[in-house]
Amino acid sequence: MKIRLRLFANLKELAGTEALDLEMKEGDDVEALISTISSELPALREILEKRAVFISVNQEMAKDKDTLSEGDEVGLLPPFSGG
Amino acid sequence: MKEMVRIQKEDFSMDEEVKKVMASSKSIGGVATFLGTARDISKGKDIELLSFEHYHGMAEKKLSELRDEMMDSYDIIELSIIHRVGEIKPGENIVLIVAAARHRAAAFDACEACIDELKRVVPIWKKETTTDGDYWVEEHP
Repeated sequence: MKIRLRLFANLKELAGTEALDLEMKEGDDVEALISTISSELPALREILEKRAVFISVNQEMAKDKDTLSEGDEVGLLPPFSGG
Repeated sequence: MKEMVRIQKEDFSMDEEVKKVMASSKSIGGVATFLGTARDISKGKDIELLSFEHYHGMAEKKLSELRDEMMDSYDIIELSIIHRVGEIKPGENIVLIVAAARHRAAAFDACEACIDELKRVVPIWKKETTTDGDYWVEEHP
């Protein structure tokens, strides 16, 4: 199944892209996706290992064990700094 | 409430936004505002420019949920939240919260809680362009 990954702020700059599609297996969860991202985008590996990011699925905050579905939009969100 | 929550590139007028909130009810007896503006210095470095990026869609949704939560949690009549994105120079406006209530205490409390919570839950990011380089800000004091 295809997952759309969105990147923001410093993560976008580190990865050199703001979005990409990743192929995942049916039943894969957020944790599995993070592992795939670490392989596909080595520049993000260190930040992901430190878990210094929030993950959103379809624009809602997600947990590691949340199961993904075909066409989900997953956001890798650095700590917010608005205001 | 239409237009009470906005993310926009353009500057805003504090007077107009307060008037808009005031127009919602004659029961308003106090209005508290928080105006966040761009400083010209950060951690000893001169700031030339701030750039705000947001997660379009999610940021608007979280801002709207934040307003609903504040309306439910505090005894206020109306609340508006406006946050600018894009490039902002030192001295310019960034964010405005306008909280209106029958009495001042609730307006002050809602206004403070709203900006604290905005910094925590709304996916907006700030990059500082300083004389010493560009930095994404990762803390929110």
